[in-house]
Amino acid sequence: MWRWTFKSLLAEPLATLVSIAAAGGAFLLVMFFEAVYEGESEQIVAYVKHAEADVWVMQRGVANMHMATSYLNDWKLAQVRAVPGVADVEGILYLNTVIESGAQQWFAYIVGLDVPSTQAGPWAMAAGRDQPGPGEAVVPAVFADMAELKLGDPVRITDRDFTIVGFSERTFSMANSVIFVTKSDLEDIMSSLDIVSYGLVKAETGVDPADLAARIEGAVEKVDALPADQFVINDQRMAMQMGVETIALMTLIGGALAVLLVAFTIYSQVSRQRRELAVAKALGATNRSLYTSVGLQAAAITVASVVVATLLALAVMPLASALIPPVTLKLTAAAVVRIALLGTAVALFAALVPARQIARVDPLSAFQT
Amino acid sequence: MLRLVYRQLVIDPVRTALTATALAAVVAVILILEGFNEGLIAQLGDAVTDRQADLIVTQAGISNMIAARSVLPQFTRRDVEAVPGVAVAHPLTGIPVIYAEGEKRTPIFLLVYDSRGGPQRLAAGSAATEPRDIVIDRSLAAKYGLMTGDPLLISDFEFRVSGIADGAAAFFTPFGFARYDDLIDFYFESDVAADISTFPLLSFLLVELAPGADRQAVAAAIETAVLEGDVFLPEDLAAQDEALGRVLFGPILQLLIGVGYVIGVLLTGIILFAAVNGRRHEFGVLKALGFTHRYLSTAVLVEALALALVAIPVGVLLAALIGSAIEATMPLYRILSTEPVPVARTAVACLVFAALGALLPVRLIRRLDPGRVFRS
Repeated sequence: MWRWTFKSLLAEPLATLVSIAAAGGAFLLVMFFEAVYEGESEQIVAYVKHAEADVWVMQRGVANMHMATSYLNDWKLAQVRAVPGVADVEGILYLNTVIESGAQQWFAYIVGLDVPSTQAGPWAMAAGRDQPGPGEAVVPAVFADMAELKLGDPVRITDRDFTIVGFSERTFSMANSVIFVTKSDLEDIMSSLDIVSYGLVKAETGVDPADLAARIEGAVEKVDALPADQFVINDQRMAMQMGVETIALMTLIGGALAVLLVAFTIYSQVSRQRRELAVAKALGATNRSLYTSVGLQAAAITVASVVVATLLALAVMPLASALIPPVTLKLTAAAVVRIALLGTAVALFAALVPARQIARVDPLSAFQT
Repeated sequence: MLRLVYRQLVIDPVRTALTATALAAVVAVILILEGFNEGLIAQLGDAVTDRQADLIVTQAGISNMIAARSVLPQFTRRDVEAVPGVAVAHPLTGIPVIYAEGEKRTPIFLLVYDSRGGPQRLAAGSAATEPRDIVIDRSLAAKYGLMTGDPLLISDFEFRVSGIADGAAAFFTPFGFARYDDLIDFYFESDVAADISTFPLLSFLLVELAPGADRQAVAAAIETAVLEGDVFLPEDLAAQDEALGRVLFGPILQLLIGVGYVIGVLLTGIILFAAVNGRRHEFGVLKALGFTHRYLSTAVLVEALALALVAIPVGVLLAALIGSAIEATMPLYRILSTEPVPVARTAVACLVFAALGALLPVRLIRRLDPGRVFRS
């Protein structure tokens, strides 16, 4: 059976290759969409993940950062600092708005830092300083590339011009690129004083962040406190609704196309062998062995297609990332396995339709044509 | 020639239908991707033009309505109304808030209006007239199962849903519409701010011109007289927001659409190859009967184009149906999958795909040995 299946696949190598290419093309489409989805999902929470906080403290009723508005009187941070188990706390002011540089506009998180910041500033730099001074800003390197900016160039936030003093790495995403300025500059922009948006709390060694968050909520009035991992989950959940959900929907549509095309390819492949399979049946092959052969061929083509698509994706994605820097692509092993499993299931189902027809064929019909 | 093509297509109607369906699916996916892009951009433009202003005043330095924070001093309204040609400057305030129910959270862009700038299309209920009334977008109502008359708690302030609006969302964010009378109560009663001065009381002015006033001239006069604000024609501000949308979503959506096109070309070629490859025997017979390679190649090309011509309208219909289904289940999104320009672009691309896709089978026919027919 194995030998016959293998021979069947090699009997018409061009047709088999075309089947692999067709299914591989469909899988490649889904892999690209998955890679965009994964890349953006990860990048969208890059800031809250990298900020050095065990617990985030914010205005009551707020539970995340993306598109949220949170304001606390800064004296509440002094109360937080006094809670047992708190090693340190740093406040940031935060605004999401549109920034401009030359003709380029972008939606951004503006983070106002109490400089020198040890917990909330950029965590990787491409060039320049990571701590902005008055009238200065640190912008994502990707934005700088897009807008063709150099260190020392201006960037406009609302009606104020800032001088760029640093390019940060991994702070850019479709939904929330992070720009760092000083807290006092952001206070001027927002016409606010003695206000912070979030408190980033560092816990003393051995203190459980969840326990500490509960203690902070008990000790300080009208604040919510969340362990960092929960805050990241909340932020990702919110961000997913805004844009990333679109990519997920596109992935689903691409996946539906892939399912249809894989089914079409496998159906065509098995249909082409209908006569040979009927002959095999006439020669004594059981229905079970015919089903097994058809199933093995479908699985073999699918696995080969996934391998081809994965190799192509790995080759093309770095090129695509280089050509389109704003887009973050990340192909995970889990995504490949998911695509392979779904593809195999669809292929087996698609192969079953002609196989069932063959199983019902009168073996004599093989000799009637 | 046409008769031969016709017979080739009808001889195995299941295969022809499958091939046309596969091509239509490729067309539909590309149109849906294009439709997402068009819809996102259109929502951003409509969010501005739906405010029904002759001119819009923003904070100086702010050239967007959605996604930008604009704060105008209160006295700006008086200054703008003092400019000759201005009948009324209607105030509008935009506040980003988050609506939470259990584990679910949704950002809302709360538009607080007085006499203009409210919801344009109501799907149910009425505009906000009573204290604490709010009109919400259909997507928010659908997501949380909200109906008119239901309470809506935002930051500990209880609104009552008086109406449900259609098409009041942009930037992946549903809008809520409340009246100015409730704004101060909202700020004081809710926990939105420790310091009320942090929140805007006035974001935009929707300028209504006096009869006969010239928009450009009045805009220039406001620009000169009111230094705290910038003035835009609504269509220009809409274009600014649309341009921002293209910059923000463009790279990702264009990449996905581009990948869709490239893979569409490949798949069309492969689908047509499979369709011809399955009939090599018939083509061998035709070659043995004296049909020239050129004749058969042209027949394959015509067949491919005929399949594409069938697939295009089916694909457009499929895209429209899928788009409607997505809009019905996820009203936050608008899918403009049947816009003339993307449809024309995709149709031309599909015909080009088909012509390119026919090249592979043509090579196959060229190499076909007519003697093979008699050996089988």
